Order: sequence, then C-alpha cells, then structure tokens
Amino acid sequence: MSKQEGLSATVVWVALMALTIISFLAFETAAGKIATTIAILIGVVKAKAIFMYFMETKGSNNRYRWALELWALATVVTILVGYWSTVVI
Amino acid sequence: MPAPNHNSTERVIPFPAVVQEGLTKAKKNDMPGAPGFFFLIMGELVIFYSFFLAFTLERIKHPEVYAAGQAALNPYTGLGLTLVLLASSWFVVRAVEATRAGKIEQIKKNLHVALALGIMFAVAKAVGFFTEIAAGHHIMADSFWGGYWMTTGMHFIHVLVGIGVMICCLYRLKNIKADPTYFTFIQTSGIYWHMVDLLWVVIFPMFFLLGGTS
Repeated sequence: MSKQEGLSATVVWVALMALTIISFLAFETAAGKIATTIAILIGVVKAKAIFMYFMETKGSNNRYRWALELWALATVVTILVGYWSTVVI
Repeated sequence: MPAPNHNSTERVIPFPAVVQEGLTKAKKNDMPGAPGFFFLIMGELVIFYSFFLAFTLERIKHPEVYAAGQAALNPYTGLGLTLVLLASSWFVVRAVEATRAGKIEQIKKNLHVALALGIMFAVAKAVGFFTEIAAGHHIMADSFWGGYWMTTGMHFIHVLVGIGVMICCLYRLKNIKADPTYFTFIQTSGIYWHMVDLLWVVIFPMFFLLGGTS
C-alpha cells in the first residue's frame, strides 16, 4: 500500500467517524427540523464517501458508478420529502 | 501499483502475473471486484430503497406512530453500532490494500480485526432485537416496528453473510501463493462488506434520528 493510498483511506475513515458524531450531536443538542435534515444529508454524504473511496469506484465512468449516485440521490430525496411533508402538514 | 517494500521485515509475496492484472482500482469503464458483482450490489440497494420508500410512505400516513416508535429506540446504541461498522469497514480497506502490497501478515491482522468488529456489531444487534421483543416491539406491533424489523432484519442477515465471507477470506489466505484469484475474492468481499456499511449509514439516521414531527 502506498503511503498516499493508505492516508486517503484513513482520512476518509476519520471523516466518516467525525461526521457520524457530528450528526448525532446535532440531533442530541437541537433535535428539530434542521438538525434532522442535517443528519440525513450527512448520512448520504457518508454513503457516497463509502462507495467512492472504500468500494474504490472513484474515477470510474461505469454505468454502475452512476447508478450508485442515482441511488444516493433517490434515497436522500425520498427520506427528506417524507420527513418534511410530515413536519409541514 | 506500488512496488513491494523489500526493506520491511514482513513477508511480502510476489503475485503471479495473472493476479497483477486484477490489482487495479476502478478506471474509466471498469469497476473493481469480480465482473458483474456490481449488478448484485445494485439489486440489493434497490431492494433496500424499496424498504426506505415504503417506510417513508407509511410515516407520512402515521407520523405519530413513527414518532413513538423512534422514541423507543436508543440513539446511543445506533451511534455505537455505526462507529463499530465503520471501523470494521476501514480494516477491510486496509486488508485489501495489504493484499495489493502482498503483505500476508497485514492481511491476516486487518481481516481478524474487521471480523471481530463485525461479530461485535452482530452480537449487539441481536441483543437489541431480544430487548425490543421483550418490550413488545415485535414485527406485528405497528407499521413502524414492521418497517424497522424488515429493514434491520434484512440488514442483519447481510451482516451474517458478510461475516461468513470474511471467514472465507481468512481460510483462503492459507493458500494465497497458489491462489491467483485471491485478490479479486478479497476485493469483491470487501465491496460486499462496504455495501452492508453503506446501508447502515442510511438506516441509522432514518430509524434512530429522524425524530418526531416537530
């Protein structure tokens, strides 16, 4: 493993752990619409980081790479539209 | 691909040429892992998306049921499970990188840690399931618990399969020198384990943090 490759995987992992704790703290300290929305958005950012860096699909132009992007987008839109439709109505 | 570090005291295995071809990361129109494996991954993700969609539609119809269900879950447990699974995933990344570098001891160490963390996740989740059943939160309790059990139960089955696959990686490691497909096998196994992780990072905020209607 080159130092750069090892470092980038470690940086991504540290970022994933930090984002998890940040989203949890946002929920714990200010459970509300914005904190919940941030937690969902962070969840999808983490999912994207996992398939790009851990699954090593970064740099690929393959149709499955774009299908993963579409899945992440569809998931975040579905969850957020569902959430906001219950808090607004 | 980086050259093996011969200054290291660790045993470094020279891969046969056939394996060298598989040591690349995703490039242009290629994807890592076994050919066609991402078809299976996308199939799994679409199935879980259908759970997320059904959960969301039911939540719109019964927001108060979902607020009560979410309040009964312990978010600290969800946080702990997420951190354990992310850590396990990172050790799998390290095991794949160690395979790329031909460092057998590093592969073994990283796989053992990843496996231990995976088992820790499974045991904690199983204990959580028993606690929820004891509290009357079974699959037929209401639509929140139906969705919760369906989604996390399916995810749990995937965790168990992932643990089995990691055990296979460790078993096949014994014959790595005579196994030209080992790198593809461990890389594909890693992709599967990352999918399990990827699903959980969506499940965690959806069930544990989505909160009530205020």
